[in-house]
Amino acid sequence: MLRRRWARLWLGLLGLGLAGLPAWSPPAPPVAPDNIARVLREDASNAGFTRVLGPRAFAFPRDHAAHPDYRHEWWYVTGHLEASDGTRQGFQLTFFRYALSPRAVASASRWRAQQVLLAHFALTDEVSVRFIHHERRARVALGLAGASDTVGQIWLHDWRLEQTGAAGGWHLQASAPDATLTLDLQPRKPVVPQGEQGYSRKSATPGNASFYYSLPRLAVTGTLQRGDRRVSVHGTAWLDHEWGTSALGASQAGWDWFALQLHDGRELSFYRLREVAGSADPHSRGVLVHPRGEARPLDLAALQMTPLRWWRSPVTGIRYPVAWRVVCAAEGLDLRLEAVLDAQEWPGSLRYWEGAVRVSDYASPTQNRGAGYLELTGYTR
Amino acid sequence: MKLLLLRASARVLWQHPWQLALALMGIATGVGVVAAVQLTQRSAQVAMADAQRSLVGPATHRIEARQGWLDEALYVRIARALPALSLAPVVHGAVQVGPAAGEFLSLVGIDPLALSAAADGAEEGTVGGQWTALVGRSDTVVMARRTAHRLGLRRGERLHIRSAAGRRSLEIIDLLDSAALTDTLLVDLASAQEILHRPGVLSAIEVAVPTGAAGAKLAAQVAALLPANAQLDSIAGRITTNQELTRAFNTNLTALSLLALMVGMFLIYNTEIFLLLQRQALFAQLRALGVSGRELTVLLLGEAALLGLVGSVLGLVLGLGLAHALLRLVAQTVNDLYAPTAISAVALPPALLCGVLVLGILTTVLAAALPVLEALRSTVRRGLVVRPDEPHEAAQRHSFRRLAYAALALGGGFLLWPSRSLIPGFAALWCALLAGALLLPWALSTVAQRLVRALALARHPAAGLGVRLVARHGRRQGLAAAALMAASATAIAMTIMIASFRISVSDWLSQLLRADYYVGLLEPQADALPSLSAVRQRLAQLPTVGATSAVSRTRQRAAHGEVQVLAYDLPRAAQAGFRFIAGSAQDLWSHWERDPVVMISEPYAWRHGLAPGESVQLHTLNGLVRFRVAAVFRDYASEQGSIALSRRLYTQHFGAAPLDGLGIYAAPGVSADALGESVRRATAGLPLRVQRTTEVVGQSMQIFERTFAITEVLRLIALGVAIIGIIAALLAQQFERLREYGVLRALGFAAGEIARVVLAQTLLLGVVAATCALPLGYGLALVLVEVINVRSFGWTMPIVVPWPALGAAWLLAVLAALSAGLYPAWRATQVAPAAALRDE
Repeated sequence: MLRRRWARLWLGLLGLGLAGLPAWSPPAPPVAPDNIARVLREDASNAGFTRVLGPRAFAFPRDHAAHPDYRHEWWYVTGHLEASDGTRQGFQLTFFRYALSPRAVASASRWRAQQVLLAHFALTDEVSVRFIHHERRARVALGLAGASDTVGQIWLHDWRLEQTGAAGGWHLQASAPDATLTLDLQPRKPVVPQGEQGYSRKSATPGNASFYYSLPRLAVTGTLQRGDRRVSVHGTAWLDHEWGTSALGASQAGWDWFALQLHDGRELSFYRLREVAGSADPHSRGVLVHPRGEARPLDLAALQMTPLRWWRSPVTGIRYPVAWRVVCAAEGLDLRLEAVLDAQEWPGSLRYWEGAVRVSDYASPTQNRGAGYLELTGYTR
Repeated sequence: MKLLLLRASARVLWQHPWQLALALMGIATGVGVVAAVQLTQRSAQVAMADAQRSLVGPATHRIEARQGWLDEALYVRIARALPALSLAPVVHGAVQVGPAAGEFLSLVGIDPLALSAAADGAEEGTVGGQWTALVGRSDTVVMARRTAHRLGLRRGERLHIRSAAGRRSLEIIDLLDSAALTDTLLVDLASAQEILHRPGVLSAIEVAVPTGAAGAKLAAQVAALLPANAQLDSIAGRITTNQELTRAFNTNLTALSLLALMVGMFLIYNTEIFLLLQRQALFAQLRALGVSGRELTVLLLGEAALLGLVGSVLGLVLGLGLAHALLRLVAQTVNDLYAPTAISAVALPPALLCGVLVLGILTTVLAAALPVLEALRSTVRRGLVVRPDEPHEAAQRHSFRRLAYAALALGGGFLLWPSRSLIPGFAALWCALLAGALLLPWALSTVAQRLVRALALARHPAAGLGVRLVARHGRRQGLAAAALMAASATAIAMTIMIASFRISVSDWLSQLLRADYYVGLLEPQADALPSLSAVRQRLAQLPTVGATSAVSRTRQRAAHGEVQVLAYDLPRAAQAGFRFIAGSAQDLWSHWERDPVVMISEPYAWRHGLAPGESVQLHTLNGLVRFRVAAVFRDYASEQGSIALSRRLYTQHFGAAPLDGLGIYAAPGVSADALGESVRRATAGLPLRVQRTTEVVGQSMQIFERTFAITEVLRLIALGVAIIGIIAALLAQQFERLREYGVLRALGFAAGEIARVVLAQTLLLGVVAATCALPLGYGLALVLVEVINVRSFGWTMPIVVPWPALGAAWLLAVLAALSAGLYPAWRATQVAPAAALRDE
């Protein structure tokens, strides 16, 4: 190898011909892993973006679409599937949009982008207890990735999430070498605004807030292909859509979020904002949706969540609380959330834990009460 | 009884701590060098693989235009058709830094979001949180800390550049500690297109496919999507070729380390003989007491195994220390030539350690087995009357000689074996070395016997006695001498090979590079077609320029796969630079511009078994065309080989190709300085590398030296350790003789005379070994150059004998032997005659 290199250098010097070796180019330096909470923190580069300062009357389908005036935005679909062959899967497909600048930059290059997209696709096999996850990133350019600003339609190569027809349905598609998921989702309950009519404040500072709504229960049908085997699947999903310009205050470390679909027809979701010191921020909020769709807002006093068990990631060394006790006395709920699989961490560009959880009675853990997804961000080594 | 045996054995060893130490040292040095070379090799391999990865990144393939640029629509098409494929677009160019006459740096536009290794959590060389600024702003750049430092710039400051699109200033948002990025400006792809004024096109698309069948299928799918103008090359394939070469390089190192072990084996054998001779009386007594031969054998071999174990452990420690020192050197080379890699830690595979340990013990037991069996036989035969000498030495020498001839015949067989593998080549080397070693004791006693007669006439009693002692104990001393000779011969062979290579390369370069100046593109741009041709036209009009030559390098498809094709436009002066191994220059040059003739490089001819008169087939625009091979030219540039033809013929069959290099010849009466001055003036402000030929040769040779630095140092270390071991063996032998010297004192020899007896022995030994090493080393060099090099690289070279270096090797061997005699000579003068006589 030394000699090969030597011969190459040599001929490079001579300009006589690089022995058929194309010009060398340095590889793209890897993008350093980032903490999701850091991305969302207020900083000077947010100047020029629109702020979230008060409640908003959502209008659909416009508000299912992208809001490029705001710095960041995401569409989150999580759910649980039962396959025709008896297997059970948790799934996640998330699109993060991040604006590089508030205005389009004039350029002769079609690669000059104002926005970048990052997408996460994961399956948690509840029977074989495996977590497969794939990440894609792209700038919004050349039509290869983008998000419509008129209807709900987001795509990154062939991963897509888009509205179908007038009935408010959605279509979801994601493929990876080891799994391809194609789903149709039909909402069974109306849109539930989070926070104060969709105005979800994250800290006392004005502007540290987002617009946030959920579709708490969607009926899912579709197919899952793994290798050469394709099975039909059905189940339940949850869709979150949230956008804003800055979210966390300087003293906040991250949040613990969950969304549960209970067998009794109720849904419960809550985000507990964590201070760096460890305590919960009073702006933490949640919602309980009754079987017919009425929503009951919850604040920090209405719901207590206590970690029961921690797991340390062998990849990043970060500790995550992967089992919780959740008490909502007013609704008569005392639940135990237990990760289907501890290792559901995303170690890539954004580090967080997002995974399928089993829901049972706290007092009698064998009593299955439903299923859900748990999200843990801002944890460090 | 067993206990008695063990105690008897232990006591003898304890009573001779010097010999024990020397035995352990012999084993330890042999094992130590093997371990050091193996460890260094492993660590260097890992480091090189890492460096390779850091250069190439996760990409396995690269799509490039055959000519010009790639349309970025191709990227979109591939991404749409194969959405799961990892792709990374790249735009290359050169920009000028600072004032109008400022230097050029490469500009590389990348997409930091594509193909990255974020999942690895790699910390080094990351763009970190800065990637948003790199992608989001058109005036940001990342560069190597070293380059920024050279330009006097820091993070956060602005770099002023000039390019096709005019002046710009870029903010340095991050500095990376990467040698791979030296003199490179890393910008976002969009910024690169803007700066270079190249909207809509890419220089390359990097592709990462998984290994195995799925990856091959995916690569085939990509290839199917490409337009005629684009081609997909495997970068992984390139790594494989490199690994082939590393393997050849490694084989050399392994052979070297096994040589060290062989020297170690000699030393162990030698020590064993000594330890056994010391105890022959004891063995005879033990046998008389009823100890069976079998019991004795087990005892002695067990003892050897124990010695082997202790010596090997010591050797491993020694090897680790040595490997650490060697690695620093390897790291230096890898850093200089590739990219900075962390190889300060020696990789310690347990299997390797165990292997070396087992090797050490087995070698010791093996080396001990022969003398043990022999000692026991003679004990039985001679009963209680024992003398520590070897009466049947003549018979032994005879069988040694027979063995030597057999080894020579075997080696010749290996050489004649019609194979292209390196293994028979190395086997032949070994046989030659073994034959030399086996013949040495005979040479030594022959020389000594002749000298005895001559010295008797010269009435020089001390020297005469020393020589007579050598003649008598030829076999024992011969072994140490053989080890010395083997080490010296190998060193000589490698010196000759490297010197021959160096001189051949230097001759080849200065022959080939006939022009006074060479002009190349600073950044090999795909759209060089107009620019370098235009430069050539401009330069040809200068009054100082007499003639110009030009070359394009391309890759074309031959019947057997891709091949490098060089299209030359050569004035007469340049034609004279080529040296031919086969074929006729006249035939070639008379048809060169008119007929479909080509010349092929020596490695190409070797790899494809081609000779002048035969033909090569290439896929051209006109279909598959046959080109007659008129000559085979000497070339050390590419091991894969290349085909060269005239530019006119090339254009006729393959279309126009961009120029990659120009040679500029001075007009009659114009000095090179004046030419250089006018060429520099005419090309000022262009992204070109203008170099005087002597500069080019100098830089090339510097790279050559650096490449061989590791081999050189390893060779010196192996030789050094071998010499230390040999000194130890000679010391041991001389200690054995101390009693004899006591007897000589009693007979009336003066102390100074005794010292001379000792020194005469070691001097004779050294001279014979060093002298025999010369022809043997030359023979080994022949095999290295004519067989190993041809099989590794496909090129031949005339053998050059570097006499001063050979003289130094001779002197070193003699001095080593002589220095081994100094201490025993002094000890010999201290022996009390009475004590020595009492023992008799």
